[in-house]
Amino acid sequence: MSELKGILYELPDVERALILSPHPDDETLGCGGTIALYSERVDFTVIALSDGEAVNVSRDNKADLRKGELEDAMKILGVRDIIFFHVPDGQFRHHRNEIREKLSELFMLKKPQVVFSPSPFDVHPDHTETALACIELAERFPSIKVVFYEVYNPIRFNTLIDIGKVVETKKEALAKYHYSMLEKEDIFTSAVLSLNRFRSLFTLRDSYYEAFWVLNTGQGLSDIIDWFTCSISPPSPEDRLLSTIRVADSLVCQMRTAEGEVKERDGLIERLTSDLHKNEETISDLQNQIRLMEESVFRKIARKFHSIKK
Amino acid sequence: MKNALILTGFHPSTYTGGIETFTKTLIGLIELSNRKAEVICASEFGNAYNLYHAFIGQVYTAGRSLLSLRSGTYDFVVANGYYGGGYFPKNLNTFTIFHSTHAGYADALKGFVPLSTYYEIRYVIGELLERSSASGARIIAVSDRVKSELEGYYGLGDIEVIPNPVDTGFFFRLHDKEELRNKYAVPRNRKVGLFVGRWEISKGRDIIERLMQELNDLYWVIVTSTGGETSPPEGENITTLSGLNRTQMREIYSLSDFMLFPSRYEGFGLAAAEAMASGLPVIGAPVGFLEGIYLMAPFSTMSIPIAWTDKNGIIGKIKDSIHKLFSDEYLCAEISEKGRDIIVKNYDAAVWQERMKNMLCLN
Repeated sequence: MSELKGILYELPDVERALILSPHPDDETLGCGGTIALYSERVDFTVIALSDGEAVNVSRDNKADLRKGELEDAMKILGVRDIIFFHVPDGQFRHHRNEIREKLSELFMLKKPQVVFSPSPFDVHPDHTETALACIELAERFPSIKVVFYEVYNPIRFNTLIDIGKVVETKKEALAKYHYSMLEKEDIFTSAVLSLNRFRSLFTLRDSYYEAFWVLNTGQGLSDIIDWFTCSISPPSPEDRLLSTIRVADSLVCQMRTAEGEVKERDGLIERLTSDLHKNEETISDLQNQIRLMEESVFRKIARKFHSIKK
Repeated sequence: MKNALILTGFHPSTYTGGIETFTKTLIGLIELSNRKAEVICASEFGNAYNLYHAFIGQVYTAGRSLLSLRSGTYDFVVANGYYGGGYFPKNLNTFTIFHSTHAGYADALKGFVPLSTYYEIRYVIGELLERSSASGARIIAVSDRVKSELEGYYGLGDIEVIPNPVDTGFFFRLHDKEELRNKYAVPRNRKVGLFVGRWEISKGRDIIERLMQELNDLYWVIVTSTGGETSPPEGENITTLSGLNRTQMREIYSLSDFMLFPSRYEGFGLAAAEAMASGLPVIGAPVGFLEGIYLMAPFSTMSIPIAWTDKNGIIGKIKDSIHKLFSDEYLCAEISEKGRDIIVKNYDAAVWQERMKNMLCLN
């Protein structure tokens, strides 16, 4: 597969990296192994954009619970620096400016060389919003490399990090997220490790991999869309119109054919109904004739004759 | 000198509908500004994309053939309604003139045509071709009615209304009625009703056919334009004409006593406007520009309902209007005179020319 030729197996050589985690647990699901692997030589700061208070579990103080879980998990992965933005969980699209401003300040303060973010092609709208903010800020901070990681949707990648050696550490960190993972951390863990395992299909080695797309400097949203859709360019407006017309034209044609058939059948039904009426009239005429014959003098005489004969 | 391009359905020299009359007038206006007007007609293209409905295929093929046009090729492009479907202007100044909407037309015909025809007009021609023809273009509607349909059906905005032009210097009442009747073999001593248009349901041919049977004392002149569904009936009380030029049309308007315009849908209704300019009372449905006319006295007495369902009621109303017209000379003269005044004031070619010149920047 030609795709494999360009794959990198190392992260860029960096000292400072920010991990944007829309909710406590996203960072571990998407890049827990990589954090564990590099935490000795890279100074990681995890930014929890929200406290994750919208999680669907029956507990009070959900934000505190999740913050605690994040802190516990980060201890395992070797991250000491955690920052909370407290953006309302599930409401990122209403706080776009706030997110951009806070991130911008942080970029200036921390001067990271790499920023990890969920990919923009993720079903969770907060994840998409985080990625879009990151893409936008990358234009203002071109020295920062943006790296997309996977959470709920597998992505097209250009970097695979072998986390085989630290997979147990990742499992241990994931296990800390009892409430964040809806009290089903086993299922979450097994699912995410299956994805990590699945990536061995590309390396043909018995290991686990976290997949990333490391964005090149200057790549904007249209390049990103182009990459993720494997350069399938959208049809031109005239081609879109043509294909819609073709479908509508075919449907109208089928409908017209069906109308013709219905008309033909209606004609047949009309002819058969007319024949039926004619036959009923004939039957009625014959019945009348029989009745008249029954009532005729000759018939009465014949009947009398037969009764006398008996 | 640069040229202008007009994208239309049929060549104005071979077809005699309202759009073709309009196109001829537009060519004249463009040529007055020292530009040449090139005309591209869908009917002259093949169905290159093999659509089942060949003419829709021709329209799309014609529009698409202009894809390579770039800024500077023409001063501007004018598309007539859905004939611009498939043409997506790229940096080329484009105007789409809507003489009607097919969504509105389809809804007016619903119940009178097979459902497949309804869907084809409503969606394939209307929603797809018509809507795409407006894409990237300045939009002009020929009446307020068409404007509101473009807004309502297609959600289009920023629409300029420029009513169709009537050459009131040409269309006026000729006074040698008897001579004109002789010329066209129309009886001199009969009351003459006039119908102008395609002989089809949308124009209310069924209403006229019924009236022909019921009103034996009237004589009918039927002037058909190309593209009708069928031929008009023949009979001793009917003269049928087709393919008339504007000089002949002026004579026909002048020899008639009234025009019957029972159309179920019009974008503008040019024939009725020409008839009014010629001093002919018009008994008609409130369609196109007539919608506004029939709100005013004395024209409201000539208004009939749009013939959607209650045909009996409409026939009765037409008979009533005819009776009023023939029994009240004063009313007839007032309608004739005021009708022409309204057309001169609002729809004269000079008014249209000025507005169109501004729109197309021809000054």
